[in-house]
Amino acid sequence: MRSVHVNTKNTTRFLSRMSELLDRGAAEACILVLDGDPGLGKTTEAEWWAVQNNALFVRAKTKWTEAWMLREILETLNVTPQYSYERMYKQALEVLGARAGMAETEDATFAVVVDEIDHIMRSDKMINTLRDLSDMLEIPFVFVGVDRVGATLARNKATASRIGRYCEFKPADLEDVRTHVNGLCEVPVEDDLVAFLHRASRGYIREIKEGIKSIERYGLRNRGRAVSLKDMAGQVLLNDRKTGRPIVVREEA
Amino acid sequence: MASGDNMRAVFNALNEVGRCLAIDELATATGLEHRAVSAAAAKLVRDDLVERVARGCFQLTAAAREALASGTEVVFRSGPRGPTPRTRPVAGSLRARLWHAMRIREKFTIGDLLGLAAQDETQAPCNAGRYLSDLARAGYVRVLARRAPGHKPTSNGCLRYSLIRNTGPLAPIVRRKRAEIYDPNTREVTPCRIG
Repeated sequence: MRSVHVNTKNTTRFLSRMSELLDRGAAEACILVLDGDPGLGKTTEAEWWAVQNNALFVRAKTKWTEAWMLREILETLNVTPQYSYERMYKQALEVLGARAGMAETEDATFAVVVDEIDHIMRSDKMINTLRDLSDMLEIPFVFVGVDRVGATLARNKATASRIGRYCEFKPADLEDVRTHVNGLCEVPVEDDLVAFLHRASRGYIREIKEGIKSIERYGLRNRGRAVSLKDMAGQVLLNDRKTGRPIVVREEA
Repeated sequence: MASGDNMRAVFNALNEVGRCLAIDELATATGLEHRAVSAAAAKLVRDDLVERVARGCFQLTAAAREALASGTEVVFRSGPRGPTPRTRPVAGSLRARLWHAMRIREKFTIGDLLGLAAQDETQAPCNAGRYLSDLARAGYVRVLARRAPGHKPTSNGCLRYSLIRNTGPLAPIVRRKRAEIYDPNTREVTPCRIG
């Protein structure tokens, strides 16, 4: 399977929301919420964007405290954290501000991506700390999570007013599945098999990639010619995410 | 205009007038912005061609006037005078993005890193493979025992790596000729055999 990033409708939606956030009218509405079901590629997309744009990327932990969160942000930026929360907060402001300043001189955007934000959703203190940093620095913060993160955040009125944009990831449609197959699969695949993959995967990226690996394995064993539904009839394509049972390609499907 | 040209313009303006000139006057005479005049004048002072008579006011040095009188060619060099004190990785390079991706993922295959970091580079897999090998020899990453399953029929699987020495946001730099890796985060040099 090729190691490339595939641009889908979710990617376009995310980048578009990001552009809108940067052009926002209210300076303090700096938060972009990215949510959707697990397995739709949110984390991969956020990681890709962070690497391409040299953004800070941290993963929230279940047992995070405000101090631990700040410590992790500082250590990711290669800054030795000081001992009190107050001092670490000031350090965070300074170093994030410096990074944002450097990005501005290069005409780039510096942002902070916090993945698995669900772990700290119940902690108003941590969400408010991130909101405070976002307010002071006026740099984009991207919160990535599942379980309707946007709706939960909106209950906190102060935070809700800082949310500049929402982006919900949706299951891939047939066109996106074809885009994935064309981008990742090293053998050509016929449309009927792509359609079967779309139905079997229900648009979840993990399942789509699993299916592509199976198709590619089959195709490479068969001299790399185009693989159709008929060719793979009876072969295991992927495992169902709910039951764990293998989904076998059926020619009449 | 290149900084060498700016230095020449300021020098010639001072030479023509034959007395000290302030930055405003030099800007008018040369058509340069104040900041460019100030930067050029600072370099000329460094090269002992111009001296500061007072704050913001410059004139040619005696050495410069002697050189002009004797017909010696005055050379304007705007570049560094010796080795630069720090080596910085090129911002936005493939290796900078690979390092960023390693710090995010912590455990990865080359394919995982390329999926996040590659753009249009033609030799990205080769570059990434060499970089990881060098980092592994220097102790930044460790090759894990279990491989990721490969996709080709006779594949032995893909090597998996773990980032064990995450020193900071700047990518370690491989210096092939000196067989060492320079870490701009810690400013340390690690000698290692470069592949």
